[in-house]
Amino acid sequence: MIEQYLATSRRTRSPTAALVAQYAKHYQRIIAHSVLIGPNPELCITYSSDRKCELITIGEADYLVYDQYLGQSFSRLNRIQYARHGAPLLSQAFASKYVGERLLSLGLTGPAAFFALSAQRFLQNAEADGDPFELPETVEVIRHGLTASQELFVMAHELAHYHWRLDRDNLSKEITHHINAFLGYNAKRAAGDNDSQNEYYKESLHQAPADFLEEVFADDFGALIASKIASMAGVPMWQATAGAVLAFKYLRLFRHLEILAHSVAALSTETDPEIFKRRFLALKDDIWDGPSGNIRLFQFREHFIRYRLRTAHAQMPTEDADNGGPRLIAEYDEKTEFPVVFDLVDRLEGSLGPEVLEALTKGMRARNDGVALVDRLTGWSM
Amino acid sequence: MSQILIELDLEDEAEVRTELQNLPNDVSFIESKRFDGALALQLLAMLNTVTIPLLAKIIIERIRANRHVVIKKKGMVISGLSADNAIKVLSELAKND
Repeated sequence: MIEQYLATSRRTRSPTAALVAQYAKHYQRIIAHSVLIGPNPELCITYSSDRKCELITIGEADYLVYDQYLGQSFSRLNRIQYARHGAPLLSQAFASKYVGERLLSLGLTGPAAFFALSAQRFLQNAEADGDPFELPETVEVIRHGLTASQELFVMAHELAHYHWRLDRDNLSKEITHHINAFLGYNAKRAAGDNDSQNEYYKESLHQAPADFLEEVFADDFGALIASKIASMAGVPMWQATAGAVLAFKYLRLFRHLEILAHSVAALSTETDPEIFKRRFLALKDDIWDGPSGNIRLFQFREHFIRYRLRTAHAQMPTEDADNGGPRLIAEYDEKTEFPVVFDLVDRLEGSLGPEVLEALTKGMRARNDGVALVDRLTGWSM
Repeated sequence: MSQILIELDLEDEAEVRTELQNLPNDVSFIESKRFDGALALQLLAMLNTVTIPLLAKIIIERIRANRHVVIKKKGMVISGLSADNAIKVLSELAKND
C-alpha cells in the first residue's frame, strides 16, 4: 500500500540502492539514540520531485518516508556554499529548477518551462567564468559531512513527530522547560540592555499556532540527535552542528519556494500584463513572510536550535580546533537565501508576463512530450 | 487498474468515511501533513465503475462548497477539474493509465 501511495502522490524515480542501505543505517542509529516508547514507524525510501520527508499513517501502520532527492538537494546547496564563484546565480538556478519541477507537478507545463529555462540561464551565467564546482577534496569531505548531518536531522525530526503523538504531555513539558531556559539565557545576556529580542520571541510564541511546540520539539530532537550521531560517525562537530542548522534553513528555503510555485500557479491565469506585473512583484513579500506572517516563528525556531546545539556542544568532548560553522551559516544568507528570496522575483520580472506564459503553454500543448521536455530542461529525466 | 490520490481537509474525514464505508478494498485513508504544515486527509482510491460516482459526488460537493480538494495521479495534480466535469475527468483518468 505504501508503494502505491508514493507512486500516486509523487513523481518518483528509483532510489539508489547503496543509499537506501545507508539510510537504513541512519535510521537504526537514530532509533538506538531515542527513548523507546513503542514500535517505531517503518522506514520507506523514495526519490521524488516533492523532495519531501513525511510521517504518514495508513490504517494501523505508520511510515517514515525519506526522500533521497531531498538529500541530493541539500548536497547541491552545500556545494553552492563552497562554490569558487557565482553562488548567488547558482542559488537562483537551483530555486528556478525547484519551482519549475513543482509547477510541472501542478500540471502547468508552460510556467514550468519558463522556470526550467531560467534555471539554465542562471547556471550558464555562473559558468561563464569557469567551473564554479571545481573544489578541492577537502571541501568535498566537508560537503559529505554536512549532508550526512542534514539527512539525519530530517529523519530524526520526522521521528520526533511520532514520539510527540505518543507522549505529548511529557514532551510538551520538557520542551517548554528548554524554551524557558532559552528565554532566561537571553534575558541574562541582555541584562541592562534593550531586551527587544526576547520581547520579539515572547510575542511570537504568544501568537504561535497550536502545533508550534511540536515543531520546536521536533527541531530540538532532530538537531541534537543528528549532531551526536554524525559526530560519532567521524564528522567533525562543527560540521555536524552547522549541518543541522543549515538543514533547517534549507527546509525554510524550500517553504519559500513552495509558496513561490503555488503563487505563480495562481498567477498563471492572469491575462492583464499590468495586473500580472503588480501581483508578481508583490510575491517578494509573500515569499518571505507568507500570507500567514509567521517568519518570526521560523526565526525563533532557528535561534532556539542554535542555542540548544551550543549548550549541548559545550557539554560534549570535542577536539575540533577549526570551527567554521558560524561563518558558514552566516554566509548562507548572502550566498543563497537573500539572492533567492529578495532578488529572484526582480530578476525574472522583465522576462515573465502573461503573453510569455501563454506562448509557452501553447507550445507545450502542441508537443506531445511537453512534460518530457521540461524534465530534460530541469535534469529530472537524466 | 488506475489509482488516484484525493487530498481533502481533515475536518471532512468523518463525513467522507461514512460515504465510502462500503468500499474498504478500493479506498484507503491516509493522514499526512501538507507543505504548509496543515494536516491533510488523503484518499488513495481505485477508479472503477463503483468508485467513480461516489468519488465524484465527494469532489463535486467540495468544489461547490469552495473546500480544499486536489486530485493527483502519478504525482501530477489534475488541473481543470470542475463540478461540471468531475465524472468525465475521473472516467478519463480510469482509462488513461
